Amino acid sequence: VTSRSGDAVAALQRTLAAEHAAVWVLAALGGRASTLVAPALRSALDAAYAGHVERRDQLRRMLAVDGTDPVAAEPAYRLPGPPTTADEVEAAGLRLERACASTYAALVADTSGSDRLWAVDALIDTAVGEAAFGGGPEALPGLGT
Amino acid sequence: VSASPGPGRGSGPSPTAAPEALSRRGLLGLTTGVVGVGLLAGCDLDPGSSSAPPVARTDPDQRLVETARAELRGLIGRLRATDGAAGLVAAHRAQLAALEGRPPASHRRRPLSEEQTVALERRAAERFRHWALVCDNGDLARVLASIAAGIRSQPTLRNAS
Repeated sequence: VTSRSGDAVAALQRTLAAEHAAVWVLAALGGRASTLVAPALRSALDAAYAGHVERRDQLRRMLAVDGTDPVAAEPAYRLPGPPTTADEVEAAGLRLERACASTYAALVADTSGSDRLWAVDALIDTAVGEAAFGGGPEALPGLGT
Repeated sequence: VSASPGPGRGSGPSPTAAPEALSRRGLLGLTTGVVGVGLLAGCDLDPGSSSAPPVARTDPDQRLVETARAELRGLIGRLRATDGAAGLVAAHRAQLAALEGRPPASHRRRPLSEEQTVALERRAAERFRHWALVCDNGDLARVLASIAAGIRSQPTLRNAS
């Protein structure tokens, strides 16, 4: 059993909730992309989906080891204005990744030790991966600047 | 999803210290920026965090900030004369500004090779990653982690083998 603060547990739960949403949205975007002639985009979605599933499962384990009941996924999520073209799917993927980067950055602030290390590396990986969705390099990913 | 900032990060005194001391106001001005994602509903991608605001900058963190600023100044100084490094210089200037540091004085330096640039940037990214882990203040950790991510996501490192 770890000795996390209540703030750290809450931040981990918020991040897990974000991962649930990310997994759902990426699956939906992947389904849409499967009907498009856009192999690079499909690869990017597949890689992002696998990465978020892995992080979701890691977060569940991190919380469970502390005796915390991990937050469950919502039954469904809503995609406002479902994307129809490859460009729209790509833009939605980039928005999702940037939102997740902000979530990881917030987790950095509220954690320490191995939890913070996890958050830092998730932020770095996500920032690097944004390029697959057409994202240009940012000086300060996750800070909303 | 509206990624709005959480409560409790916009108030509190700004400690004053030596010249170029990191002000909490400056950090907060950066870290509470609103990210309008609006992609999802029924989920929480709120980047706001709820840690209690720090009372004052501790000495170890202040030294760390000064070291981090020096790292960025060194990079800027060495990259200014390097062809194709304008984007990196701009990124490092923005990162230095986030730490409320002043850019270095302009003076001639020998241009770096591509290999030297990659090596320096890799080292810097690792240093910022480490500093994000060891600093006490959560807001500062967030900025340092973002700088590490910002360095790693630049094409110079992304495209390097």
